[in-house]
Amino acid sequence: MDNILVGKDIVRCFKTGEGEDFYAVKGVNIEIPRKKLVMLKGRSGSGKTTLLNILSSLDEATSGEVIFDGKNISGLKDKEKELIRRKEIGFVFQSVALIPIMNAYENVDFAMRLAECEGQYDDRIKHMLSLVNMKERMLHMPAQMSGGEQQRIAIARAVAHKPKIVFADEPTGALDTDTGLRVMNLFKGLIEKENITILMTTHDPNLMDMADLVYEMEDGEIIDRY
Amino acid sequence: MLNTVIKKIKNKKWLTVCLLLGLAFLVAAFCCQPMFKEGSMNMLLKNSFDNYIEENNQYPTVIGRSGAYSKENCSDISVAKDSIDSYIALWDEYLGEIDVSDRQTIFEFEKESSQGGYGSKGNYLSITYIPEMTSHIEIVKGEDFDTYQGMDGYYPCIISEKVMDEYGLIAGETLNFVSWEDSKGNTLKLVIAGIFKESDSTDLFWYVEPNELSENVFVSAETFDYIMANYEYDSIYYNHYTLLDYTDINSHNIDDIQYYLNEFIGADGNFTASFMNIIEMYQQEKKTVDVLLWVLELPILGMVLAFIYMVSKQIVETEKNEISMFKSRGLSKKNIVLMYGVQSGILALLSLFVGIPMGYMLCKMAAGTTDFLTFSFNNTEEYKFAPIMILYGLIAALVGVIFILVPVVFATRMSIVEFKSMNVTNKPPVWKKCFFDVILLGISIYLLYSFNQDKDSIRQKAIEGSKMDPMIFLNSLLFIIGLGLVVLRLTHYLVKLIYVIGRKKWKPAVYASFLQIIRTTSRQGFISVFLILTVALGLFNANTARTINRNNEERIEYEVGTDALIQEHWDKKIYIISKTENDYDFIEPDYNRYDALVQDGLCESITRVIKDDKATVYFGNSKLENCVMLRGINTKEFGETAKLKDELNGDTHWFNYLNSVALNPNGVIISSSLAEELEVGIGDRIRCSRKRVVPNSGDDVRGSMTMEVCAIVDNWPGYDRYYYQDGELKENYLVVANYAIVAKVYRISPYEIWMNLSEGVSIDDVYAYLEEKNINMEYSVSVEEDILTMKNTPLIQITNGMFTMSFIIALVLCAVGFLIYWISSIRQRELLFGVYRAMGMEVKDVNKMLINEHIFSTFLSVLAGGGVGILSTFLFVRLFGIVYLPEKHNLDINIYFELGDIVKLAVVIAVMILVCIVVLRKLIKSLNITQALKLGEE
Repeated sequence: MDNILVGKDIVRCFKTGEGEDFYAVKGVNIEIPRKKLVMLKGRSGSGKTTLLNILSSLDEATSGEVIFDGKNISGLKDKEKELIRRKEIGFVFQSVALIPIMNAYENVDFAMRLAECEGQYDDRIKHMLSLVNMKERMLHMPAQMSGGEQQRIAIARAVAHKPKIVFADEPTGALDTDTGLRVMNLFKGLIEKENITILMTTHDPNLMDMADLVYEMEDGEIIDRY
Repeated sequence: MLNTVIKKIKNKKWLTVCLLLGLAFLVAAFCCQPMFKEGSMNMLLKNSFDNYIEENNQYPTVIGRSGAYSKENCSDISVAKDSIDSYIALWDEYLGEIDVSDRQTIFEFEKESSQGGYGSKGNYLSITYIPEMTSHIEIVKGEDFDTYQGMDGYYPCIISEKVMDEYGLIAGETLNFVSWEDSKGNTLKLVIAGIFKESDSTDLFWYVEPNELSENVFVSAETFDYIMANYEYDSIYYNHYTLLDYTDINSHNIDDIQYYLNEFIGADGNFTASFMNIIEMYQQEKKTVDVLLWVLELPILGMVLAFIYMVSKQIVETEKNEISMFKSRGLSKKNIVLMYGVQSGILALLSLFVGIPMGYMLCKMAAGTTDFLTFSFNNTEEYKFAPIMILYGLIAALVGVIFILVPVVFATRMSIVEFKSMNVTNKPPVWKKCFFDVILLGISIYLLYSFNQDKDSIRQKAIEGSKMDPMIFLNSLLFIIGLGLVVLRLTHYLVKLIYVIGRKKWKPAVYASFLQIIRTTSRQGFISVFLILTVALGLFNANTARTINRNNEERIEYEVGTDALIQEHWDKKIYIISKTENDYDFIEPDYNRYDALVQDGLCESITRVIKDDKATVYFGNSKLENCVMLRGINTKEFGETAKLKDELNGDTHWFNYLNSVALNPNGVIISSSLAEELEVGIGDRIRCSRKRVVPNSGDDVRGSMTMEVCAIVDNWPGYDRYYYQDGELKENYLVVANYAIVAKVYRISPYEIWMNLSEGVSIDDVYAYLEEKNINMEYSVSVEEDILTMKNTPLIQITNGMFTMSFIIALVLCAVGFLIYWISSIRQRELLFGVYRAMGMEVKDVNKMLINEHIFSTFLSVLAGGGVGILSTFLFVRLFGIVYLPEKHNLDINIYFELGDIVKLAVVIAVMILVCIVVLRKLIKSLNITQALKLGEE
């Protein structure tokens, strides 16, 4: 299968306050196929966010390799990683993901400027905002929106610059079930329309049905894949 | 609660230290007020007394009586003495707390004709008795009247050296008072037992010095009694002087003293007090000092309070979650405010311990300023700790606590949701919404306009010493605040405009930074206002102080005309004409003694200047009588010695005028005032006559000459066109002629010696030299001393002190406030930076973003502050100048900027921004993205 992202023997070790080693991720091997909605499932503390951070190049693994689009990105310089993050990756964070000083339109605009996208931004921004059903509210500030609305803008922003993959850390964590489901539907639609891959973490078992692939984590290890 | 408070203080230790700093400054600035005021008032008194001594060469604080006792009321001298003693006892009863330095009583008969035994022409002398004088004199020739063995029929007397010189009398000579006859028809005969001088020239007993008693012969009490008993006379005259120790007179007891003296004057027609004028001037100046101190202190206090408010707001903003948590746990608003109250109470208490000593030091520092940002600390002993400072400190601390609690009260009123949305919805601040800035600016411009219209009456009031209108000063503050806010409003529009113009092209860092500035104006606004105001006030204060000091100095330099000048004492040769009239010739001291001043390198050059301010000038049928300033100069030497700014007489250098007089021995330079008054032009011939110095003489013209007008000038070294008499503006008229012709026509007369001092030579060096040469100076004037005196006047002292203090406090608060704002705002934005970094923004770009923010908020604010400061200088300093230098003068008030001040301000701000950027860079570099994002989740 064509994988956009592969993690090999990923280990992440932190020093605890007492100076002891704590292994958050213990030699995980993971493959993320292209144009799929992949979920990392697990309880709080299972290591899924740490793994997501490593796979998205926000964090460096203690050992192991991350192959992104056929290229080993482990051990790359900060600048190179930043370039990948800017251009090829989109992020949706659990909360406060939007930049509070920018309105909906500007938040999306900012991501496109960062990725140095070609062409007219305006059409693309408006298109993205329509996709997430937020075009009417594009001039609103984040503080004037509900959690779900904010998350939809965050998704539009994560996808606007046409990344290859979008990482979403508990995108529905702060939302009620209904809104959460709506966000998931949005993800599904975007995979179709924008040709992207989505890797998200969640602890909500109700969402599992919507995933193309689920990895279940426990105690820093992948214990199941279905 | 105390535990929570201590924990809170520990958690926010840097912000708490800032708050403590603000409170300490507030306590210090406020509590040094009474100390400064009292010190200034004491300095004012001390200076008044010192100046009086210097100008009059006399003890300043003397009370006494003068009058006469008729023969019927006073059988012998002890009766008169007892009578005077009873008055002294009365004075002591009321003025007892002031020590008496000495007392002098002079009893004398009326002047009578006497024939000298050695054939002198005959003199009019007064027989005088001064109790206890023998223990204060030194006999230079002959004997004391007490020890004199006697000549039958002659009573011994002694005379001063001055009487000896002027009347040509010697020891052993007899004086026959032909108009005094006893019952047997014998005339009164005295013999001069000896010649005396005061045993110590600094002896306060000689309030009236022997030299001043120039028509007196002194006898013992017995002789005086004998004359009283045996000769016919109407009255004996007396003058009693009690010298009060002026160092005991201070701002505390001066009002009582004034009250008692007025009572004495009212009750006793013969009572005299030499220093009523000094007290009245003091009381007048006190009013100005009072107002000025408050007016100049107000901006400092405002600035410190704004700082406290800002820091407190910052603390509250970082603690908004805690406040909402307290509220959710059921703590009432009152309790939350109380908790912050306890916290600020602890700080306020600490600030008292720090602030009061700091206030003491600030006051000493302010008192020690001799110029803006220049200190000497020589003259600060009058500035002492006063217990009332503690009360002032307490009040200041209390006000500080209130300012700390204002943001807390606002925060407790808001729910967490409101608080959050307030932060991001960017509501414009209240002042912006209600156009407070425009209104304030409008009011201040209107006031400025009306003050400018009213300049003449402000000038007149200042000359009369009336209470100063504090609004003249406060209006500048209104203007600075108003314009500062308007400029801030405009810079926001400008930033918006720049953003909109390049919106499509901005790189992400610039894009984000513009939005950050535009969307957080209400939060950033405060630090911007603070920056604008401190920079503007700092510059304005610096310029005002510099302008006032420099203009004062320039006027002094102009009025003296050279570096220093002295007038040596010239002895007179007296010719007696009648009982009331005599004539004299001056005896010129050896001028060659001054040559060494130049040879020894003390002076570059010296010159003689004959000065007469009471000459009369005739032209046609008009004349200016007894009011023309006549100067006799040696043109070449004068040109080398006197000083005048080149540009003061238009395009013509003043040397050209000197040359025209040098070429024409009968030529004169006249002032334009004289030319206008008598309608004289160049080439016209005027007649100039001089009077004798002694009044009441019959033939009073010393000489007269006709001279040709060579030049008409507006300005001349030492010549001020304007002067004031009883508050009314009058004009001076000047005639400058060649020295040789003045000396020839008017007979030899005293001249001043003008000195152009060599580089680095102090006037004290010159005085030491003159003392070494035994040169007896009548008076001396020097730019150096006059500037020092000017700087010690309370008005200037307070201005320099307060402006320096406010400049330093502004700089410290500005630097600390700025750093605190940025560092804590960056901490608040940590999550945002995490998002930026996660989205792939490079550290370099984040730095760029911050620099851009600094350029468009900090730098623009500083620039705006500089502009506001400079504009206010141009608009207000001339008006201030009228308060400080109200008299119309040849020299206009020039505005002075000192580059050094701007550089100092710029360096502090540059260092401040640099430190800020370095700290921020460090913070951002160490920022862990995943950690920052986690922060957001929490």
